[in-house]
Amino acid sequence: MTTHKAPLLEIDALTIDVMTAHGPRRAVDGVSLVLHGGDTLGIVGESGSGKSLTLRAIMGLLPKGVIQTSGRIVLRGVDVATMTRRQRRAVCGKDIAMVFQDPMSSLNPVMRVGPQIVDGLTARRHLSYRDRRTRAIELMSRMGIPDPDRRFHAFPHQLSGGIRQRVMIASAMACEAALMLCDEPTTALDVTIQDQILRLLAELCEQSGTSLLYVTHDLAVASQVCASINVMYGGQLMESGPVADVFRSPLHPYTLGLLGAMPRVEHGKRRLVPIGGAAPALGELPAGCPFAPRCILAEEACERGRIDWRDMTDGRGVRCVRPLTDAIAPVEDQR
Amino acid sequence: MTSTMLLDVSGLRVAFPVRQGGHEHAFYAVDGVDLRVAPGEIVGLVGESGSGKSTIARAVVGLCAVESGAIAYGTPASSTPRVHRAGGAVQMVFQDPYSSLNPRMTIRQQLSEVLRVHRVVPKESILERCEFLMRQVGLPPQLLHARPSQMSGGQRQRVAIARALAFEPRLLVADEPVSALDVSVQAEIVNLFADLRDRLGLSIVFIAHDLSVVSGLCDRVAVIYMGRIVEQAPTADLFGHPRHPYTRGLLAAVPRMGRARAEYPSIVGEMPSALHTPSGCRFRTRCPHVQELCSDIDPALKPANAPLDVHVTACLFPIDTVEVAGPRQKLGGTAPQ
Repeated sequence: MTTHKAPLLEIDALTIDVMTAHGPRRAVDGVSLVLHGGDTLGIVGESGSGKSLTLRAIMGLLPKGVIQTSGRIVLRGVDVATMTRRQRRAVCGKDIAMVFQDPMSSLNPVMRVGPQIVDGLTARRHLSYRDRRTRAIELMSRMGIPDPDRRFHAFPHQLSGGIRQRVMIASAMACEAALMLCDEPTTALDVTIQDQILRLLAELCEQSGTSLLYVTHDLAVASQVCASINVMYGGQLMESGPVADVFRSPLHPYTLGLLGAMPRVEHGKRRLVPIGGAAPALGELPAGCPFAPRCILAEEACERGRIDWRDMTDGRGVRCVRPLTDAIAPVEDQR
Repeated sequence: MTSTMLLDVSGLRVAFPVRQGGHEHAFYAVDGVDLRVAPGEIVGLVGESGSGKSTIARAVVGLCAVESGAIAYGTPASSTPRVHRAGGAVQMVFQDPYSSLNPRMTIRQQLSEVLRVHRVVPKESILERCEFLMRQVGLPPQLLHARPSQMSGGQRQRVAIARALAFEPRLLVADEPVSALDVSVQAEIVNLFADLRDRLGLSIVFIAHDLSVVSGLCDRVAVIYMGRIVEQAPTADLFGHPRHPYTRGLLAAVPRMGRARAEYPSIVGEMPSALHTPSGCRFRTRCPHVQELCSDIDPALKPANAPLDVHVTACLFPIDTVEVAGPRQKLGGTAPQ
């Protein structure tokens, strides 16, 4: 890959606090990521793991009362903290596009969808409206929206969830951004529609070389659109590496646990292996590894203090005192 | 046959009125469904949203009016089922434990209310029974004093199940009970359902849109499309040898680990509106194998191979048996076996 070039996006020790009535509570704790042009990166985690906040911080879209307390977000070599608001807005419209989970709340409900896509065509401002309109309809048909000429004039509420999500992706694609951020874009959709959209996304990234940062709770979904993956838990990165390697031989007990708890069609009838306990609530993170209270392999060292990130071979990394080695058979082959 | 069944639904139709252009129409959310559940059996209902799977569940527990058809709970058929008529033998567990529990009451209050109002046990043994119910769903009795807001999503869903169990039901109808939960917790609840069946001999109708959850838990699965069952078979049979193109498309759409894509094309388009039901086979507008005859003939559920086969399919041109859901060749990995 293009490791010698400046990365497209670099997140360095990002820390985010949520302000509560009882003071600040840590939600994201020292997350670092590097994404080069053309990379497809997934962030997988359960609810409350901090995955969505990480994504929102990149866009500068943290909700009120949620503050980035430290860490840097660097876009094409420029720290976003040093940008003026206008510069940042230009970057977010041009270089980064975002697709949200719920298209109903991110599309303008009183504006027809066609013009919303036309508005996204920031890179084509020099064209006449008619040309941009043609381009928007082209995008819609590429997105697999049937009858795009007619749908151009529809309001969001007149469209089904699947079509709305396609419109969202079309307007994100419209700015021809180098990086597309996706926050669980298919979670609210049926498997059939999810499959259509995932195929579309994978195809688009391949064709136009768009980079993807894809946040999801579903490991299988991540494995279909991403080349490498980051597993988050309790606000920290637990493990990262190429998708196939992470799933074939997870290094972190949490990843292993997730794989065992995940029902799979190809396995047929069998008992799932749940991870005991529950994810830590906001502000109730233990001093050591956040997963230690639920980890069957936890030892004293896990609870003593913050666990350091360890870089492993083959582009993998893990935050664990005792990473699982190949001696432990991966879950997938235990059938 | 009927006498051995715990639940016997036949010809169920549920209609909702729709006003369109000043005219009253009825659209059928459930349009002629036969469903049987044997004691101790877990039956899965799967389908896309809007297919009518939840409406079937609500009709079974008596939460929505039935237009025609019969629902029998191991007793002579009644056309207007009510929960109390079934003596609390049928209970429902909802998707969202956040909204199905009372946020202002402690768990003990919620459980004892059920026991008291329905006179399940004498007054003096209510607390004892509450503790028993908590243990049954794998919760420590100390949590009886907690309120729902102090519990995790998984614990709340366990409480919702405990409350359903308070009636000592014979059939649980669970409508997407694990969809709102995280993967690691979801597995616990799925296992709990399996345990309850094993320990109490409960029958369960398990509704889910997630086929992988259903594949691991259910004995038999019915695939619903536009208010009809299009295919029904024992789980392994259905997932291993789907005969209806819709079932096969649904299976192909389930995201799997590894980047290799199922060879079978995913289902195109979306389910048509129930107000514009296609003539003939309802799936024909999205079917990859559609033929001329499909628009004329509305296929009935037919046994797949032998005349008495439990695997039934509503398709004029069912797919020949092909291994679909078996272990897949991994990219660059070792070949299976």
